[in-house]
Amino acid sequence: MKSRKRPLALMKSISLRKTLMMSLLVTAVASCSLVPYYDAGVIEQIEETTATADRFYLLMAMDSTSEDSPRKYDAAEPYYYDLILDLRKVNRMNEYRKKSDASTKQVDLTIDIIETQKSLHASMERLDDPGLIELHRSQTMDALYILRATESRLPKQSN
Amino acid sequence: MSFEIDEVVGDMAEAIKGSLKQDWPDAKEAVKQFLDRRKERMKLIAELVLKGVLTTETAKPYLDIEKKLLEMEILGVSIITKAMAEKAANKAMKVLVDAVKAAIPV
Repeated sequence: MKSRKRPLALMKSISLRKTLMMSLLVTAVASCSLVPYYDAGVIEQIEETTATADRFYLLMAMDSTSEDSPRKYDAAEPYYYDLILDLRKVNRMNEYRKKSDASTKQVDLTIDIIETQKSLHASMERLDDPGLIELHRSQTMDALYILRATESRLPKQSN
Repeated sequence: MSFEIDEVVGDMAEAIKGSLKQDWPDAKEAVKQFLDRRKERMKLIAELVLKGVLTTETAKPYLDIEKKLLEMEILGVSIITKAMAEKAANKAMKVLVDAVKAAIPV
C-alpha cells in the first residue's frame, strides 16, 4: 500500500509546485504593465469631444453674421464649457485606471489650452479673422488628435 | 522677416531627441509625424504676425499653447514607447512561461 501512496503524493506535490510556479510567472507578466490598458470608453469620450469641437469651429467659420454666431464670445462660451466638461469626464475615467498619470497630464494640458483660447476669445469679444479662427481650430483639434493617437496605441487587456 | 519653417522644425526635433535620449530610435517616427502636423500652423502664426493680425505680444499665448502641445506630444511618445517596451517584455515572458511549462515534469 505504501509504495502506491508515495508516487501519488509525489505527483500531487509536483502538480502543486507547477501550479504555484505558473501562477507566479503569470502574476509577474501581468504586473509588469508600464502604461494603462486601452479603454474603449475613453476613446469614445475623446471622439465625442472632437465632434463638439468640430461643430463649434465649423459654425464659427461659416456663420459670420447671425445673432448666435460663435464668432461672438457670448455665443461661443457654452461650447468652451462643453469641451472642458467633456475632458473632465475623460479624466474621471482615468482615475479608475492604473498607470494613467501621463494620460491624465495630457488631458489637463488640453483643458489648459481650451481655457487659454476661451480667455483670448473673451478679450477680443469677436473672432473674425479667418486665419485666427483656423489657428484656434487647428490647435484644439491637434490636442484632441494627440489624446486619440496616444489612447489608441495602448495595449489591450487580454482577459 | 523670413521664417525658415523646415529649419525650425529640424531644431525642434533635435531638442526632443536630446530629451528622449535612449528612447529616440523608437520614438523617432512618432515625433516626425507630430512635427509635420504642426509645420502648417507655425507658418500660420508667422503669417498672422506678418499681416499684423497678431503682434509679437499677442502671439505669445498662441506660442505658449504650442509649447503645451509639444509637451503633450512628448508625453504621448513616452507612453507609446513604454507600451512598445511592455509588448516586447510580455512576448519575452511568454517564451519563458512556455519554456518553464515544458520543462516541469508532471
